[in-house]
Amino acid sequence: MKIIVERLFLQIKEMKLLFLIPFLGYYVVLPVCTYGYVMNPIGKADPFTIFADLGYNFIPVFSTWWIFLFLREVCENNGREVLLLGGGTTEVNLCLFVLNMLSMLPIFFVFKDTDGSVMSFYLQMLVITFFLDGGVYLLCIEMKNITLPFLITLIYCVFSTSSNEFLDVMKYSVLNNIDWMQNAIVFIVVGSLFWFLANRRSKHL
Amino acid sequence: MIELQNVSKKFGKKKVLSNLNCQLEKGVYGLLGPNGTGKTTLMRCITNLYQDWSGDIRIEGKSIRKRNSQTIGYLPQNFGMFHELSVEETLQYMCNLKRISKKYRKDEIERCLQLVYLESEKRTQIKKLSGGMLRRVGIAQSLLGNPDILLFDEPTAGLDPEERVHFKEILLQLGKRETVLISTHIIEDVEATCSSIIIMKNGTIQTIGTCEEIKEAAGKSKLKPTLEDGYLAIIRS
Repeated sequence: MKIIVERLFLQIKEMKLLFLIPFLGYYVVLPVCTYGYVMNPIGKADPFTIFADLGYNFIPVFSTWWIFLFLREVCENNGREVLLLGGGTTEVNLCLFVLNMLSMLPIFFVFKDTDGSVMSFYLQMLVITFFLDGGVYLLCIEMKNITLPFLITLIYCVFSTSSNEFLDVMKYSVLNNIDWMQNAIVFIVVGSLFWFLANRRSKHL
Repeated sequence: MIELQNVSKKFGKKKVLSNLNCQLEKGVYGLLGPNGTGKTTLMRCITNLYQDWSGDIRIEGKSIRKRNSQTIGYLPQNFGMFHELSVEETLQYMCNLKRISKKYRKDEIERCLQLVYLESEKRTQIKKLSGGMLRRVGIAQSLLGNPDILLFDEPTAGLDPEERVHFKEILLQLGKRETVLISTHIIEDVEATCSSIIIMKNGTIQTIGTCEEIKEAAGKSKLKPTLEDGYLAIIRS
């Protein structure tokens, strides 16, 4: 674990200011947009509903950012053979996933969780992010570049909230809702498969 | 010692390596051959970077498929990652990848930087280095942890004459205790450093021999008895 943390630290150092993009998304873009909608006299929804609505679009995209930056080194850079020889790509990606989930956590405490919907939304984000990060990891490793997977992620996140049946089911559901749980299991299983396949391919050119 | 046993590799339908067999003992081996003949592919097979190759490669008797490939020092054809990190941090990253204990890491980095004359640049960012210096960082990272096997893919490309002379000295030292395989197009480097030469053509090994034996091949073809002409005679035959 120590080795992975040390590697993560150097990797973050390499990302420089680009490392801050998800924080900008979670703590500037999302709150500002939510505030803008709340202040709009036409839409009278409560702040959390607006935040969740925007979150379905923004959070998954921002969650993949660090993974893309890391995989750029592994998939595209000169000398990536040396990184493949060293291994540990999956471990670093998993750490980045956890780091991302922790880094977005404070903003959820802004809202009062009276009916469990805030907790539910966070868990849904966790499941979607796990699925999407695994998908991104697999795509990048298979395609050996990050440009196309990044475009696919953007398209997925833009269209998913309006056309994806699964996300519609997840939306606004409460924690104990059976539909939500069933869909979450599908996402976790498929996501795990993505991570597993990507891990297998990540050690070779 | 590296043993290749019927090593073959295909890209799609194209066979890039075809039933390679040889044994490489301690020493410096020069890998020569025209472009696209499979030199880099062979090196990548030895490091187990490809998933689908056939045959077996054994290092010190142990199959590379089971062996920890972190113990191989490999300098790829292009090396230039982590632009924002300093030379020292890049080598720390490499030590991390090679699982070198933190206790020895500082000394190991110092040793490798001294070998490639880069001690004074250890705090310089990678993006600020010249092409030759970057190459030397690549060489330094491959030497970290004293690996048993060293594979250098065109190590002297981009080095100035002084750096090349120095690199040849390093190679001669390394060849006394390790198996070193260098792929290059620069015949002078091979002649100055290699105890044996492997000549590849169309994915097969044409000849393995000493410089003198290669030169003899030139003599037989009524060419000048130089390594360059010997190489050409073998390639054209």
